[in-house]
Amino acid sequence: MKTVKYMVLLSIIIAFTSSCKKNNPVDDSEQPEKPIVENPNTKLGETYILGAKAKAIVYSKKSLITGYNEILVAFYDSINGSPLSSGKLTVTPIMDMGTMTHSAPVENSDAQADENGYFKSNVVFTMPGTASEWSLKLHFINNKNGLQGNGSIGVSVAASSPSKLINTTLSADSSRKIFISLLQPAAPEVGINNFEITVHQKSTMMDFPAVSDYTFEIEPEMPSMGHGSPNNVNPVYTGNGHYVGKVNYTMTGLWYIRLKIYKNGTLISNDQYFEMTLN
Amino acid sequence: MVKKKLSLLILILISGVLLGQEAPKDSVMKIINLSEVQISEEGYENNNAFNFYKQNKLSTIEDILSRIQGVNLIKRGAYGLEPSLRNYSGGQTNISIDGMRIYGACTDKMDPVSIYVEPSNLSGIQVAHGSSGSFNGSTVGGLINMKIKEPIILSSARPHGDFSQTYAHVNKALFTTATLQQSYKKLTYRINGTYRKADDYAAGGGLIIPYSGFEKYNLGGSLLYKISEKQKIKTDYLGDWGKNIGYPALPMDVASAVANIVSLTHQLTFKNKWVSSNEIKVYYNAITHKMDDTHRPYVPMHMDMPGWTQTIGFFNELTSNENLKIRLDAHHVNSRADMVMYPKGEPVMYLQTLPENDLINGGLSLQYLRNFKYHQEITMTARGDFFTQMAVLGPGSKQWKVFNTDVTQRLINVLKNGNLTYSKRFYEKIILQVTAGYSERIPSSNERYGFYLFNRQDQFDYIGNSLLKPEQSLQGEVSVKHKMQHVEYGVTLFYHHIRNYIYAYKLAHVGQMTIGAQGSKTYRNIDYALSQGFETNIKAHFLQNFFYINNMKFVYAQTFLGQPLALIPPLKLQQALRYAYNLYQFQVEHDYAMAQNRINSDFGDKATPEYHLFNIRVSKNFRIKETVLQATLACENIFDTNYREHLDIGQIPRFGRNFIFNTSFLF
Repeated sequence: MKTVKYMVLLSIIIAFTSSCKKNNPVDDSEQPEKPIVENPNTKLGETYILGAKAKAIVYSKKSLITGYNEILVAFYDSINGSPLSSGKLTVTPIMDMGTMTHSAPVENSDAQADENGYFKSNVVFTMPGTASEWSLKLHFINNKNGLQGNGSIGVSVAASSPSKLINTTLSADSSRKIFISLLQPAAPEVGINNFEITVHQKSTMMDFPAVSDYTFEIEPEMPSMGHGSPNNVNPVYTGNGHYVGKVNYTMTGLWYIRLKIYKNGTLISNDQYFEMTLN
Repeated sequence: MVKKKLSLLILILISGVLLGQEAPKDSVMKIINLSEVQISEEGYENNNAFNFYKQNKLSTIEDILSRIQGVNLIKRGAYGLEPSLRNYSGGQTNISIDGMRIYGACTDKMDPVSIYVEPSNLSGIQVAHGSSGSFNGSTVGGLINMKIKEPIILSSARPHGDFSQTYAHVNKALFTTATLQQSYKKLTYRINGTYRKADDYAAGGGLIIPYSGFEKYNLGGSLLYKISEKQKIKTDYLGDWGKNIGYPALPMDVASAVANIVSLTHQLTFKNKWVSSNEIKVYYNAITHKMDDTHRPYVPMHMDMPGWTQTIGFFNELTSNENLKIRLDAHHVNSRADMVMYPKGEPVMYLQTLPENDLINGGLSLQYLRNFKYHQEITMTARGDFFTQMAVLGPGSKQWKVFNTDVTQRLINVLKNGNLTYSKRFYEKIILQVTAGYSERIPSSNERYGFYLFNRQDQFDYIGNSLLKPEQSLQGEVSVKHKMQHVEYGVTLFYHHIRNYIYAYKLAHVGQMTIGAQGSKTYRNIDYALSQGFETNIKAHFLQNFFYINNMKFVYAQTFLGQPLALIPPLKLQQALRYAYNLYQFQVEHDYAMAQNRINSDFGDKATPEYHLFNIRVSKNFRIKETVLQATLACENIFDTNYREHLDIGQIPRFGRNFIFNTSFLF
């Protein structure tokens, strides 16, 4: 009896809030639904997670580009607008090409909201696309009420320039289709820089698991002078498809970071590189 | 008198005072007599020799230096030759002007300090080898100090001066120099200007050496005010502007080289029991050096390499009546060198080949001279130096992080130098002198912080090493001089043992930066290096009008493993015969250098063949009342020999046959 009462009340509230949304758009500033901490990130959009009694506001650290992107999602109770910090977010990127649909590599975790109230997920967009082509499907389990549901927002993805994504098929490794994303250096500087990449492979149209069985050698190069730099540290596998090392730049200008990919000690690719400009 | 000179510093002369008397004032001639122009304590004011030298319009400081015993020149172009003392160069030697520290701004050493002084501005060159030169600053190799002419207070207010023009056909060079000097009761000034312009020169055989021309202006000004009989105050300015100076041995030329050197000097003499004089000098100089490759064809990409140094310093030299000299000095230098490359259609590439850095030095020197009976004399010199150096936080220090090195860390060195000279005179004619010395030097900024500095000689990029220890040198020297009525000769033997010698090594795992370089090298301290050799000189005066000068120098230097050091000159002989008749002078010169086959091929040293060189000079003076007009004709390298010195970078041959005409007007 009690639950019925609650459900009736809830449905009324949902009906009310959704109609309110449609008819009386409310000024953002008056809404209590804002993240706990002032937000420096790019807002991508918002959606209700139907079934979880939650509303999601989706941000990214920077505007979305092909390659590795950090997605931040703040959830609010769709009834009273209070922030939700306990739950589980699963993001699935979807590319709708009309005749076919596919996903992209993504890093989801069981982590709860961070101290700023964000749930995090990282997405490797494998190609540029408009907001009607790319979307982020959000699945959220709301620990507050034990409910779960889905929402979705369309996002536009620009091509990174210079490219932060290597998209290649390795014929030397049973035509494995892999995606290498550059995470660091994000803002390269003369001197020593952290170097970090992620590697994923395409298993099915919807499954892009992390790759852990490669080793890498890196070699920075200034293409117009043909020289490199000393004391670079080859990236080593740190888990979850991530490889971390160090890269050095001796001067400003255009640099390539050349990658050699090894599997079980055998060189399987040596023609891939990331390009970056130091000012 | 002689004793005193010797005791002051070891002054190396190739000839004496034999032409101090009524010799015609020639111009091309005096090169060879130049070492008469030693600095002695008695000063450059009673200056027959200096007057003699003053009219030298043709030669550069380099010509002069090359005639001084133990001095050789490292050549990179027709201009800007770097002096080396025996086997020492660069940071191993102290090259100064009037005791002022000046640092070249070019990481390729295209701007040795010696280029800033024109011969017409020079009153003398003080050369001291090894630790005996450490009175002015810690050094293992020695000291070259160029003394600038000081305006003299004369009884008449009539302006004095000279004007001279020289034309050299080998590089269509025209040199013009003018001096004006005037004296009032208490005030006197001296202004000197020089303009030099030269095209590419022809080597022996007629081959034109491209990118060897240059152009430069030099202005010197000096103002002296006599406060009282005992007190003088003086301000000096020296400006030098070089333009489009070609360096055929290097892949780039100098677009502009600017030096501004100023100083203020206070001189005080005392008439008391203890102290005889005190001199304080405060100085500042700024050197800007811009290299580029815009005149070169086929460069992979356009490149600029500017460099800057700024030095501020002072010294105080106190001389006592008890033959004691005390010098306190300090200086601060800020230096930096950039490399900017402009690849087509790509972002600019920038790095600091010498990260901006500051060096601060303070030192105290003591020199004490003591006479004993039986014509014996002991001179003791001691100097302590404090150095601190660190790179400035910025792009240059960031770059260095690629070698996991924090160049902003302060480096501190305390250096010690000591020198003991004993001399004894036998039979009033023979002087025996024995010297033992110990000296140290800190690594140069390039050796510490250089970042991919390309070395043309071995085609390697050099990366500094901030952990280098100072070089420490133990030195022994013996010399004998015998003076007779018409003939004078001397022999000097030296032996130096340099511990922690700074030596270059290949870096196996570090690639090159410069396009075309073979790899990278860095510096390390090796156990030791040895340097030994001799110098001899003879001069003679005979048949009334004949004068003969001969000097020979030889250095043999190697590492503790027996590997010859690089850039060691072979045995060299220079001789000249002069005949003076009335107002005419005729002079024949012969230079001979043996082949140098003891080379360091790791360093890119190449064997150098022997050569003979013959020059002839004729001059005539015309006296017109108070003035003198002087005409000189010279032919250098009469047989158009194609030759080079072992120290010439890039194995580029030197001047071919060269006719030189000079006219000077003295008033």
